[in-house]
Amino acid sequence: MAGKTKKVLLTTGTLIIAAGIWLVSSSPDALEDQQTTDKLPLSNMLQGKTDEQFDSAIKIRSLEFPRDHGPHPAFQTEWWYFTGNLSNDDNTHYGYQFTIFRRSFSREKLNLDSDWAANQVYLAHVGITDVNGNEYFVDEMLSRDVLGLAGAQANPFSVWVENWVVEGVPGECEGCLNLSIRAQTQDFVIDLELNSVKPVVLQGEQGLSRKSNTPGNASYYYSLTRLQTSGEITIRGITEQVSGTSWMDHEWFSSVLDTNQAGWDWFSLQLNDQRELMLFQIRPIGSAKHSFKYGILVHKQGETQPLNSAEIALVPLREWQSKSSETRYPVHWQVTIPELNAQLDIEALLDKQERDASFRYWEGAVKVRGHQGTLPITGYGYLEMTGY
Amino acid sequence: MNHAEVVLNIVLLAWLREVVRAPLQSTLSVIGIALGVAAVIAVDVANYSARESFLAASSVLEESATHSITGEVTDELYRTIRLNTAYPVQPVVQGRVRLKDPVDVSAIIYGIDPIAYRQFDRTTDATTLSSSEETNQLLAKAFSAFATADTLKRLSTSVGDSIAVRFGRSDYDLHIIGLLETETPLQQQSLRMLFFTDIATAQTILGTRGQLSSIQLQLPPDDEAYRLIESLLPLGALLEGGLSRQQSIQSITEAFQTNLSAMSLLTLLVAIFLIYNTMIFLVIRRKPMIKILRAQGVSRAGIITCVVLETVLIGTAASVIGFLSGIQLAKFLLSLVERSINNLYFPIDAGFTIISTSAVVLALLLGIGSSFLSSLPALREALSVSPSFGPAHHRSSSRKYNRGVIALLACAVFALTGVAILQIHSTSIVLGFAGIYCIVAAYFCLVPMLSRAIGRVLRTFAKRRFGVRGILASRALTMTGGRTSVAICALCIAISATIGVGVMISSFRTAVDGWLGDRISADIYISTQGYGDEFNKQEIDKLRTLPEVRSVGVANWTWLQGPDGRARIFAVDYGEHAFSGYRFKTQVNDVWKQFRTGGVIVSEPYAWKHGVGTGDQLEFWNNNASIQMPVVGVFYDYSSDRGIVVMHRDIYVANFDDQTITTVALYTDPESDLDSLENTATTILVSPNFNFWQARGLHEASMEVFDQTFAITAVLRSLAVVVAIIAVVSTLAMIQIDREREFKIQTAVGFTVREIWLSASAEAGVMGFIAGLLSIPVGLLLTWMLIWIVNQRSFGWTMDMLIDGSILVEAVVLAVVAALLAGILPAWRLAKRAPIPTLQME
Repeated sequence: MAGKTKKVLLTTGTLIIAAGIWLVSSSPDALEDQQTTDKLPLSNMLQGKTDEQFDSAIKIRSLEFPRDHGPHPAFQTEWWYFTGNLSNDDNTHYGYQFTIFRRSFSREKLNLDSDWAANQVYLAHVGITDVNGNEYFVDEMLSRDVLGLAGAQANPFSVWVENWVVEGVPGECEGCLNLSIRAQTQDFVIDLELNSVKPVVLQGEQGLSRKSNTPGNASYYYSLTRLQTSGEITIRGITEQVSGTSWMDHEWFSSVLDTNQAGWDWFSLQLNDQRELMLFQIRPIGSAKHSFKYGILVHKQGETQPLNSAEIALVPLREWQSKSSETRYPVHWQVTIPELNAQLDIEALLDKQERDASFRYWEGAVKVRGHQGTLPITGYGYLEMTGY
Repeated sequence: MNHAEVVLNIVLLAWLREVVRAPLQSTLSVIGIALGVAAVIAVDVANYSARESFLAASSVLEESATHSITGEVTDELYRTIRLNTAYPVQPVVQGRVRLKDPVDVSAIIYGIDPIAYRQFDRTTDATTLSSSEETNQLLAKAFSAFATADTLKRLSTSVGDSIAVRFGRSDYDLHIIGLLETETPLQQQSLRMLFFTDIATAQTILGTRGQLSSIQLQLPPDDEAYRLIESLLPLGALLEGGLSRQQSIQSITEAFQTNLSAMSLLTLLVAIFLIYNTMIFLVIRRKPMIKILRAQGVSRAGIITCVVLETVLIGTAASVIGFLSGIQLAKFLLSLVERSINNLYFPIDAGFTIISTSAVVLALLLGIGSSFLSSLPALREALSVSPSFGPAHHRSSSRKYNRGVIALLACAVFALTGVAILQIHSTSIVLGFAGIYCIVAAYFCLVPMLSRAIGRVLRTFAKRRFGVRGILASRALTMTGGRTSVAICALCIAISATIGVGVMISSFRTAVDGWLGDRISADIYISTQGYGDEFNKQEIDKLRTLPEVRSVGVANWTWLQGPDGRARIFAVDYGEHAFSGYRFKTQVNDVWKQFRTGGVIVSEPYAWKHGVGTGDQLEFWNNNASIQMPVVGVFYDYSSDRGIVVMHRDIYVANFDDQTITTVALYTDPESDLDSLENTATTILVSPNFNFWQARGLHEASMEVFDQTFAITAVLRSLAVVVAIIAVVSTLAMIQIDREREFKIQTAVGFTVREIWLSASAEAGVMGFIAGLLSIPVGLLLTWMLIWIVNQRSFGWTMDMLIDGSILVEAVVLAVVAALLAGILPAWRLAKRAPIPTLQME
């Protein structure tokens, strides 16, 4: 059999299993969706009824560090998200994503006389956008939390799937981390050092981030919005010294989306004036008109300013259609924030940043241009779009 | 319609009337040919099915792997490989359990990691699970399993039900959550009674926490990958490449098939002979008819048309009947094979028969083709009769002389070729068989001459004893040499095969029996079940203090690595008495003393496979050095065809720093109650995963496996004999009919019917006797070759050849009885015919 066909089959197989694993404990509704397509929109795993045995994010609880950098097995789903924009000395621009998802299928490990007895699986996604080279690379790794093959711990902080690892020690500011990320795939390697320069940002109400008006459809969520980053990126054997800025999100929950919610558009923007802006909207099925929106501005010194979400307007300007999934994603947005008197033009650095893997979503580096009043605003960031 | 066609139609009509007039004739022909076809098809199909099933079972689940790591494979090793390499790898935990219902049926638990399983490139692998979601349920639900639809049907369960399985003393309920689907029925078949589970479930049931049966890998075809993996392996774990793995599977298959193939060829030979005879018989029966037709002016072409038409019709009918009954016979044979190899290798199912295209082609070719071809010489003979009522002329004697020279030449050529082939030092079984067949063929070239010679001696004897009647009875042997000797040959082949295989099996059985008796010295053996289990010192000490126990021997089954690869090691300390149970190929002085001070003894298969003998040095590596160990003896052993190296446990511990004990032997006082001792021992042992074997039970169980293994051979042997007997019946019948006129003259000159009948029967008996006599040397030759060529090449072991006189006597009696039985019908037919009118016609 031709190598290419083999690869395609292999990939398809891997994707199906990964998707399936994820849905081991999903609701019947989600399963029905899954059966109609091999690849899932990422939003699917966030929907559905909460499994009774898991805790829900209902009440505000005080987040403590380094404890809360670690895993929260009482909740069904958890992720650690790292994204960043990097460049080398020649100003070649790279975007990267490194994510580890944790998903439990039961509260306790299965009662078996084996070290393979598990109750959760870890899935790692890694991706690189070579903006100048017009290429997007992704890979993934999946393992159950046994034999030390995958897991997470708070102190010292570490999350890993096999030899894809993120490790960290506390930094000087509140909740800060100095991290290293390593992942090697067949096509590329990332090996980066990340140091937080701003304290932790608790999203929503002191870290309780609501995703709809239904109680329980929420997550515990904090971010490290500015991590000074340096290290190496190797693509097809060619290594580049790179530096830039990264963003970390850590979120855990058992259910976040209402059944009538389709997906979200999520922006993490790092502005050149040392401020960061985080925005998301969760779109109901059918129309984006009544989206559930959220926004927060992080000032230069780390103070946060929640934004009046009702006023924020997110308007898609241009769509791009994926060749593999035929899904159309808005890759160019106009964002208006009246409260800040700001208007931003956010556009993908590369259109084809769709991860068409076990979960289908668009996750990519974006460029920001705009103005606040008369002052120009520039910057880079990451955009995640699901449910398209 | 032209004139020629009219004539032809009339001729055909006349022919048809002849056929209808004597339906028995045609029926017998059909039965004869059908039997030949059936025998060959049965053996072929049984053989083919067994092989396919075996190959499929060994590969369906693992064929996508290029390499595999076996031996002492742990979770930790898997983790190391996973973290240090990026190649697709998957762990496998596999073992046998027993079902509770149907009670004691054995099944396989095949545990995998669904995630790693899917990362494997399975494009070459036809096994699929009904859906990936269900596969993942394996991971999420304890004791969940997949099985094939066939398996569930057989157990009268379905998806959603539970199946109770037992391992050791623990019972578990497996919940069937999905179907294991395959592309072909063959694969479905090979996965029968296999439960596909998560690895955690498999380890729990099989009690092998921390241990894997193997790690499957998909490595690129370069040395780098191989070396990288190999560098990660601890001692005791073995990386086998795709090729060598394939080879090892192949060699097991080959060894198993050897017996079957030999029998298949034998049956084919006898069957062709049977068909040949049947057809000649048929045409000879048509001789008077042909004469009449020829006298009436029917052309040769007309006769040929009739004969060919009849041949093809009979051949076709017989092929179809033979093929169908062959399949039924194959199912029966397979049920025996199943019993035989289920114990040793894998479960197959007799209800499942694979019909190869080659079997169909073979059936048609054999039935129609050889019927047609066989009829040609007979036709020639029939046509050679002039269109008159004159008697047929016998062949000139000069041809007989030529035949003798040709036979001698052929014998020389076959013998030389055979010896030359056997001179090649090779492990090839095919070459071994080729050589054996050449030598056997050489012998059979001499059979006609030998039988004539014996015939002459008998004739002289008969003349003195019975006068002219005696001469008449033995005359056929010397006069109608051609056909008679062919019949003797056929009977001889079949009988010699029964001797060859019979003596081989009885020698083997005696050897194994004695070997077990010698080697089983203790009263109870306790052994661990998996790689992880071992006895601790306290347990051994407690066992020693039991009142019934006289002494306790300890041993360790393990592996050692050396420059020649990995060797199976038995590090034993059972004492001098037990050591005397080893029987050595050549006597060595002071072997115990040498063994005690650092010498090792190797099993015969080991010596054969590694080309070592007494006086040679073996080299093994410990952590820092290479240890040289002298071989002080080669012992007979039938436990492993890979071979084992035995060393004293003290020597092993001193050199390799490993105190593990995996087997314990308890020597008790003669009157001890072994069952209660076993119970007491159970309470002492911490782990539940130990097997207990009481010496008597062990011996019996081993012999049972042995007998079952050879059941198939015995059946095939009987089949060959049955076909041979029928071949002889038809030959004799043919001879008698050919000589009808002779008998008529005898009647006319005053012999009574009884006398003729006796004379004909005596003749048949003499033929059988000669065949039986002649088959003894070749039978023994076969035995010798089966032991020293086939067994050694297949398994590496040999045994003393024990000639059981009863087998030889049985063989001769069988031959005589077969020939007598064969002679009864034709003789009776002859005798009851009124002679005068027929003779008057001439």
